[in-house]
Amino acid sequence: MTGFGASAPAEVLYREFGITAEAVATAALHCLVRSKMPATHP
Amino acid sequence: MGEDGPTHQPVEHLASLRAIPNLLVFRPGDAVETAEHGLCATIGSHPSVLCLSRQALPAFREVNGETNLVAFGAYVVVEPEDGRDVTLIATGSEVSIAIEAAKLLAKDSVRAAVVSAPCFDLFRQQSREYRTAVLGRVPRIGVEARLRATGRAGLATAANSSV
Repeated sequence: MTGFGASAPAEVLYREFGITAEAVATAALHCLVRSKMPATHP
Repeated sequence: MGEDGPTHQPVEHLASLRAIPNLLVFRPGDAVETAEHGLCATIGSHPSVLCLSRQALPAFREVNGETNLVAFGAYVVVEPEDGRDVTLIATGSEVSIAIEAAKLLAKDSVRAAVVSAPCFDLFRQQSREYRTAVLGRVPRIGVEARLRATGRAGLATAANSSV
């Protein structure tokens, strides 16, 4: 997160701020794709 | 940290508490971790803060074994049998989210280990061998409901990110 939070039940907040199992899995997949890309600088 | 009322949005608490020297900041993720926090030998020599979530959480550890895992600061909760592609590191209420994420990744044939890190301060005191074994040598993803301020430095490398 980069800003202040909000007031709501936990399940609403976690979804709103993208802290979900789906978001974590997506971040992991993106991270793996990035780490396997060849370096652009020598 | 987590659900809270209309006057409290403490996204900065973890970052600011971890910045205080000689203060042990604990963020247990379930009942067993909360119980183990109270049995850490280091408590007493330093003040400690227990950061609990207000919402109900599932128990990811059903057995309290002889070893106090919280005393290590961080430990492996899920280790794929045939190696790791990625390590998910979470604290508190986000550990169970990371465990669910690992199950989703398994469907995509991605082997994800899950690390619970209830106390960064205690983890930093462990041996290099132990820390390397826990963190692994594959990309790491940090999962924590807070500001992106501190705490990443000890866990992440350039190839890693956080949610």
